[in-house]
Amino acid sequence: MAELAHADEKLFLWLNGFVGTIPALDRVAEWVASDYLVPIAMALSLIALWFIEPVQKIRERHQIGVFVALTSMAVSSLVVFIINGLYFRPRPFETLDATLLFYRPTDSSFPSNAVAAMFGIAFGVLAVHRRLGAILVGVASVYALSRVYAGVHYPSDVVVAAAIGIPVTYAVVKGRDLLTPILTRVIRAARILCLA
Amino acid sequence: MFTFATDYSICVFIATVGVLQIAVSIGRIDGLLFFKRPVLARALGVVLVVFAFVLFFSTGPRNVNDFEGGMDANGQALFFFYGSFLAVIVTFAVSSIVNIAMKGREAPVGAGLDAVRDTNYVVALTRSLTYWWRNWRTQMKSYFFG
Repeated sequence: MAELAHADEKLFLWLNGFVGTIPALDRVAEWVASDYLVPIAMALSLIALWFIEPVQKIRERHQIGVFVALTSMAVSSLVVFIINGLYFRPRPFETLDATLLFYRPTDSSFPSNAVAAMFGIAFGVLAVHRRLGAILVGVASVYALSRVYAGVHYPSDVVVAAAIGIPVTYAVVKGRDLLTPILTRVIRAARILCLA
Repeated sequence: MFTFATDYSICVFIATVGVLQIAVSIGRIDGLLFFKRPVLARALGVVLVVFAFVLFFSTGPRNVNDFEGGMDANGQALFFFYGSFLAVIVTFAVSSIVNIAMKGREAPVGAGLDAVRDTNYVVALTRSLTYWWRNWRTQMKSYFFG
């Protein structure tokens, strides 16, 4: 366990050590790691998923997928919330000589709540739209990497956060069948207002 | 002058209008397009999305903790809803004005967005609501009991 933690710290210091070498990269990392760019982009992709399909039957599947992705995000955040309550890990900038490109969060570092939420959405979309889902998984991965680069998370924080998204989304997708009759009615109601 | 939440909502609003133009052009929902040519709508969409993020990130520090003037997750969700909801309303309104002459044939019941393919949104919505107003008894029956 101690060896794993040491390797985690070493990998963090190696990645964070690049900060300052290319100022433009630091600026991009500040944007990407922020609480706004990737989360807004993910939410916008769900809006796009709602409208993007010309065939109604497939569009309905995508629209159910939007609910799946949101549920997956919420459940992933809940799992992280519970883990954060049971185990507190200080942020890397508090214990190591790290360069910070971010504000100083005070909550637990392990696992990353923001990364878990983004992977929850990405895996949820992947379940209904492979191409968009794959892009979102890529975006979430860059987000996770940027958070380590920016000095707010250890690599294991983001890896575990991403790993939480897989079983959570699987469970949500499996449970989707239970909610499909309700969701289908919601979508049919939205069709009256030409919204779905 | 603006608060952080206002800047955020403006960013979401502009970006959502852009994303909607891209999505409806791909989904061939022509009644919601601002331009007749889908390529132009997509170009406008990309420009709006990029502009929204550049505007947001270049007008002030954005890596701010929620207790120092930033936004927490709940605030983000709420203001995202405000911004995107307004963007949807504005898209429906503007596209209905731009496509005022677009009045295609009556769409089948439950067509939803498909009704906005060759008809502007206001006309499609009016037709749908008129139909439901006249036939709500039979429609509610099929809605709840299949």
